Amino acid sequence: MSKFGVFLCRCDGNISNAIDIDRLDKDFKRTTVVDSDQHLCSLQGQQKIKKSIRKHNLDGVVVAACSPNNHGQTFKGCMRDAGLNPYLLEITNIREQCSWVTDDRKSATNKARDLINASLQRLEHAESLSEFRVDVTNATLVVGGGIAGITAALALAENGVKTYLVEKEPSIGGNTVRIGKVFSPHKMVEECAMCSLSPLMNDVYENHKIELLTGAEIANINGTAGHFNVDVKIKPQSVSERCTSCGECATVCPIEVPDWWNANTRTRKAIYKPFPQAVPDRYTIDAEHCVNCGKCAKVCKSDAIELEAKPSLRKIEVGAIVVATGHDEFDPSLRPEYGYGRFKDVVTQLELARIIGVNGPTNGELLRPSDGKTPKRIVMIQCVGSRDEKPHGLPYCSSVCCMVALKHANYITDYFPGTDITVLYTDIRAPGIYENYYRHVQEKGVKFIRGRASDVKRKGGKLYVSAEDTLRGQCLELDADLVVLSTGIKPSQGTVHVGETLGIELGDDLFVKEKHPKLEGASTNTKGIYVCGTAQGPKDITYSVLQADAAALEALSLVGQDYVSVEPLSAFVKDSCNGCGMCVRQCKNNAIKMVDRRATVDPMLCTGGGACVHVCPTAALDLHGCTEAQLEASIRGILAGKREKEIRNIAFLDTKIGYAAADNIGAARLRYPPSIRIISVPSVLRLAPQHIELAFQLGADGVFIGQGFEAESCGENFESVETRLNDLSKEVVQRGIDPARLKIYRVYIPHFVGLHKRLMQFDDKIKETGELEKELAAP
Amino acid sequence: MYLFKSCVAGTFYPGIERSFRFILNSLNVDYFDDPNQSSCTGFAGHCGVVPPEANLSLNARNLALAYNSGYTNVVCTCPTSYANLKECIGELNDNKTRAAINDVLKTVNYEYKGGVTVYHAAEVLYSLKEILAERAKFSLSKVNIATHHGCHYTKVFYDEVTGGLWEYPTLLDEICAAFSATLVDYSERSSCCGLGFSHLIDVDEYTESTSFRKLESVLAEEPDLIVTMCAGCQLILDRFQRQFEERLNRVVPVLNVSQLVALLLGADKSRDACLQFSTIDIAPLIEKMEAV
Ligand SMILES: Cc1cc2nc3c(=O)[nH]c(=O)nc-3n(C[C@H](O)[C@H](O)[C@H](O)COP(=O)(O)OP(=O)(O)OC[C@H]3O[C@@H](n4cnc5c(N)ncnc54)[C@H](O)[C@@H]3O)c2cc1C
Ligand code: SF4
Repeated sequence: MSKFGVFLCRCDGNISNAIDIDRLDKDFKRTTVVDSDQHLCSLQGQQKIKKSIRKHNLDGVVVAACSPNNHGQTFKGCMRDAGLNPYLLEITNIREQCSWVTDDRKSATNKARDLINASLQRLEHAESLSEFRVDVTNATLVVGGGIAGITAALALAENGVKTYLVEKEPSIGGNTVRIGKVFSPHKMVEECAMCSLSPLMNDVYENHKIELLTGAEIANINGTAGHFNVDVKIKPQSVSERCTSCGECATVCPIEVPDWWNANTRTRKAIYKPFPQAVPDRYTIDAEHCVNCGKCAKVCKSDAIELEAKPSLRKIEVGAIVVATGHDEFDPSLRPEYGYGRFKDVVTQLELARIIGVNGPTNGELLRPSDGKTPKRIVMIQCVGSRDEKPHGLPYCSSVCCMVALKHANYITDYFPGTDITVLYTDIRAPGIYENYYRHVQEKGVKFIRGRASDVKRKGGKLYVSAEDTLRGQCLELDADLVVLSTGIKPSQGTVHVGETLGIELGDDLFVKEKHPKLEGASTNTKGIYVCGTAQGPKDITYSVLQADAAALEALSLVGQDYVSVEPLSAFVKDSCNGCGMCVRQCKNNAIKMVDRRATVDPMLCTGGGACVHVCPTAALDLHGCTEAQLEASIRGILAGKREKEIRNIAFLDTKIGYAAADNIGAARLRYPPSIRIISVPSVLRLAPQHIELAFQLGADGVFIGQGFEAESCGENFESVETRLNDLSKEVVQRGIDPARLKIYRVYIPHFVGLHKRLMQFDDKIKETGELEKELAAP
Repeated sequence: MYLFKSCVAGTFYPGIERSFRFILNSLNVDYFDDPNQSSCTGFAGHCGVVPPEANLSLNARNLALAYNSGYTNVVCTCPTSYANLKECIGELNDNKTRAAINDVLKTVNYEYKGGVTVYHAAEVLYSLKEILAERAKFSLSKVNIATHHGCHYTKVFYDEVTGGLWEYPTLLDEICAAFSATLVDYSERSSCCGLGFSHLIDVDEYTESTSFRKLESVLAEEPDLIVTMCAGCQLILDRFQRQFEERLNRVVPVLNVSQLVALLLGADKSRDACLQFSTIDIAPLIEKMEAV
């Protein structure tokens, strides 16, 4: 008989406060080797596991700790070090899915015991597997050419790595180009953003290790860390490198459109150069507005304009990817009470930056948009859209806007003395030495009133800002010549788009989620893809640059290796294959081929969802890591020991999205009853009617299936996954199961609260309906 | 459509409901006029006279009536009923509350089963505005309008406001614009009319100063008409306007959007729109409406 060890983690109270670890220790000691530790993931904890494996000559290990998404790799490493195959490890999630979600200690302890027992049962069927090696491509891709992307690309190229920099706009530079002046922590004066940025942009252009692709976006990706194949879609390059930037073309172009690079405070032509220091240094045609009149091409002396240029597709191969796709401003028209769009003299901080920028619409003069007069009284409203829980609001603090207001207040009082400035704030967030700046600006006479503005009105041609001074308990109405909105920072559309295309996890705010907020702040949840700058969350230039260097370092250490190991969790074929070819048609990844009238799986193409397993009429297919035997053991284990009148509902969740969302429920400390038991499956397509039927036969009262939105499911798109799930539920119902006991739900990680709500509703409903009658469940 | 009648509208401005019926009839919309429907008691509830449990049971009955009638789209002419019914539905979604209320309803042979949706009449006009504009006999092209949407429509279920956002709703503006009106913005657009329910009873100086501020800012923009969607707001803005006439030097007519739309479709001024109930004379406005 096999000898297993159970290791219980207390997680410094995170687990042991809710679960009686000593009790479990005693219970399991009767049958297995047991040990516990405050932190199994610590070196000491790992040593304990390794020693025990060797000492007791263990055949398999159950680690009952936090979610496998946290330290799964660490514990696999322990197995390897102790000479055991890492696939003989089962991790029982007793933190995110037990101690953090269960109210009372007794239920939590009982649930933990059941979950560990289920893992032990599954371990009986574990198989030793060996990993594959993938040769690493020594090249990287940086998506987004703002200050963060530029920094990352330069760091990679300077270390000798071929780097593609993909930027969707015609020039690199990003938002830093538009902000004009930057606050600096050490000096009480503002520096010129372009003065620091422009040399870096030129370095990018000159570095022969960097290939800059502008007007370009990622269209598709496949592969794994170490070797990704990426398709880059490039807009028509209507102005070639022959362009000398003479500007003749723009003077004859008849089309005028708002100029994004100037925060729409002025216009530009349909053929234009974004800004004087643009890189690449040439004009560009905005195809959306160009009317193809050909006037520009006629005047171009260098014959650089090709109006018929076509979009192209570039295929590149890289080992690692850095996402630096930045942020957008919160749309102030979503807070109509502030009158943006209705009153010309209500502007955003970014627009103010352009107004006082020497290369802006007023050549640096402080003139208000309505009548071109110099405003004497300026009111700034903080937290517009930020720290705002109302619809469309951003619940978080955008972190830079207080500093931006201080910067502009400081600059204006320096260069336009006599201007009266009032800042209406929620809290002033000037962390670290930025406090000096805050004090300095206060000493210069800028007024600060704590209170959120309620609205901006126009009376008798003048603007008034209403607010409550919450420190004095007074309602105020401040007259203003110019109102400036400190709008929040939200993930750019490009960030959300790239996140979805690359399949990396986004947080509930839609910023790219870092793998670990403290320890791995530049990694995403997908190995080989890193993140930096405001694509990951609101931050200033200093932190964007630091994070860019960190992301580059991570990417470098990956592409510096000769090979990477890939988990062997793919489908495999048993001897009973009769060569019928059903599975070949099923697999949308084309991972199964017929070789000598026998199905053969290419483990590099197989994404391990397991949709093929039950299409095989001779049961010749199975899936490493989630074999029929393992899946059955999990179902059996999780339902074992069900007591009289007890309700148990199984939630099958796909590992990547559904299970991760369930972990987020725990991390947010939302509660759900212990009757809900989660089983992770590589994809819900792994499930067949017989699994659901088995669950009911073994005592489940309800079955919930949560499929991750956009989750990789054997190359099938969401619609076809949905169809397959509907077919599955129809078949289960035909086999006599009450449809009310089966629920299929689409999980979206950022909306883990939705999953929680659905699980609770489902559980409530089953409890209302009552236990599944034995006769119905009987085989 | 289940026509949910309003006691405040019925008492002070019967033209609101009559106009709405006129519009529905002229479009051949099938609606149910249920003699068994009771007042939602929203006004009394806000004043603290009717306890919440009574309010809930009574409206569970009203909603059950709608459900049983098969006309499950409940349309209120009054935003207080609108918000009150929606709040009741929210509370009845809780299983325990629903069971307790159904125990009460059982004694009168009703059961609340959910399945009804609540709208405001102005939302119906909004969704039909293009069709209505096509059938209009008059145009508002010479008319300047200030709109007042009212707190119970925009501030209770603020995230369910149709047309614009809760801080700057454009529901009424868009309806009026469909008939070619010019809309005027005014500084106290999102302020309360001053009705304030219990405030009106307890502290009338406060409500009076609020109403004054509101009307002062409207009149500063010199509109020809104020359009509302609430009988209570209309009561304050129309009937109480007389009080401020001397201080403001001017008056402006006030109409509910249903009355305005019905007049534009050719409704009778007294029989349908019941303009005789208005304190401020509507005649100057009527003169500005141009036949098309
Ligand atoms: C008004 C304002 C003033 C500020 N002032 C200061 C200041 O004084 N000091 C300071 O330290 N910080 C300041 N900040 C913050 C600063 O702007 C950010 O920290 C900085 O811009 C972040 O750089 P980034 O490269 O991460 O993102 P971004 O600057 O947003 O650059 C992202 C780049 O990615 C590109 N991109 C987006 N999507 C895609 C896609 N799908 N494919 C390819 N490319 C894509 C974009 O076109 C852009 O070039 C200010 C912010 C605001 C809003
Ligand atoms: S930085 Fe300041 S203005 Fe910006 S969201 Fe945070 S507190 Fe509000």
